[in-house]
Amino acid sequence: MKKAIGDNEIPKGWSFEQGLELVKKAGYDGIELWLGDVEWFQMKTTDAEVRNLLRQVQNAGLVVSNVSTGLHWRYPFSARDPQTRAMAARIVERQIETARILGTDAILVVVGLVTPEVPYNEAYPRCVEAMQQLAPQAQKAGVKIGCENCNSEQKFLLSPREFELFLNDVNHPSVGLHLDVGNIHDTGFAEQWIEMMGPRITRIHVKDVMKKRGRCGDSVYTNIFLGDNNWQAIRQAITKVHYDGWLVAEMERRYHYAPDQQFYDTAAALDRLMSGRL
Amino acid sequence: MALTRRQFLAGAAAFPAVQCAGWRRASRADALQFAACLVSSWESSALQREWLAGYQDALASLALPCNVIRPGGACRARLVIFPAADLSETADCHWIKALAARGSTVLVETAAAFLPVQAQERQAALAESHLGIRLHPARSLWSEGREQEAIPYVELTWPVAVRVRDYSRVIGVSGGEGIPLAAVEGLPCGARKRIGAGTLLFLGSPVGPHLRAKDREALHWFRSLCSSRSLG
Repeated sequence: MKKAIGDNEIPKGWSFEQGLELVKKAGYDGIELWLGDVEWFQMKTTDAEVRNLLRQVQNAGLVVSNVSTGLHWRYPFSARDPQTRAMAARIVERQIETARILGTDAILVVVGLVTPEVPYNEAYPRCVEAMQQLAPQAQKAGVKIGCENCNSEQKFLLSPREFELFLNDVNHPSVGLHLDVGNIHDTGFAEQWIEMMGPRITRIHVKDVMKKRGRCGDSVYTNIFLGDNNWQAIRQAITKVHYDGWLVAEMERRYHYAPDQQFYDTAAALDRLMSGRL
Repeated sequence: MALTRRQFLAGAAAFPAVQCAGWRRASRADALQFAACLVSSWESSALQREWLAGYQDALASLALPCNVIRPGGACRARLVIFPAADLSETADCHWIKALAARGSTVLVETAAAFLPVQAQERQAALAESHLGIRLHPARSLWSEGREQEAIPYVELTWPVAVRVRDYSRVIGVSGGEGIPLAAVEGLPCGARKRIGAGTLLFLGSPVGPHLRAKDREALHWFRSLCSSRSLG
């Protein structure tokens, strides 16, 4: 396994180059690039500029683990507005294009949102159809679309069984699960998601979570080993399904002081997780 | 969410209408044999495709054969459904009127709430002058903070009384006979009127997408509509 961290974790005011230096120094193998979430990687960023990002990544001695985006929170495939859905598709297309340039084979997509306005049974077929439409493009580019489980935030595909049915309905080898072991909260157990989804997992986002909400201020998320995830079980499940891909740190809560220290601490925690010494 | 005609068409260039389940291009002879005709006025539109697919699924579940035709096409079905209707041409209104006069039940779901104001106004003018149906400006049902309030269900009153989900924006509809065919939060958004030997049903909030989402009440309403006593 290899470890990565998102470029959206780079401390405020730091340049991409400074961030890459920190990522490398902290011991990561790669970096996850977030389309639309950082100033250096936007929808309007040209191919030439993306190639320049790749050069910077390579110069730092890193590789790109995957291309993620938070833009689908604003432009979900579940929207009633066809223009919003068209934009959602354009975002995925750009992710696929940039993934190819950046030399990675995986993208992260938050596929749909259930809201008070758009009910589950309406969101579901739209999301299935959208993934069916985009899958051939991803396949052609040699890229896998990893639909992320944002269980509590999305209110969609809340259990591994639902997610499995969703992927079965999409029915395309280029669409899988970008599993976030911190997003399951108190709706289930990360290790069971890993066991059930096994080879369909494209990448794993790693963070910890407080399952009893309201105990940790404004966020239920915390640093690896500080929350309620069963890390021994997660590690065993990873071994069981022979997952040997990227572990991508996604730290939602940031250090209030010495923000760079979080990179070192998280890298050390990932090393312990990979080693199995828990 | 107002769309120009071009945007409406291009909204789903990636989703050709011919991929809709059950879509078939029928010959003129075929077109006369179907229980229902679905009217598609757009070459390719994400909005219409979704609304239309709901009716296709529902008709298939009732084992009722249907075909998809263009406005003005040959159709002798007892039920004609025009989902996401743009009604931008006088000829469309004349055709709808002629189908109803001949004895069909014509269900029109207006897409006006999702069109630019100019297109809404044109549709309202045509509907009033040719069909006697008055359309009011689009109203958004989900304003900021709505999440904490009641769901703006659409109450359909005929042929059975059911509640279905709203569809974010609604067009007020009046000019029908008797009680409104549909209403949401006190705003009439559906009208029913006899035209010759048939009936025109005009909805300002669609049922099609809810049929696609397999909403039970929407299916119950549609099943009732398809029962022979409700038609014509």
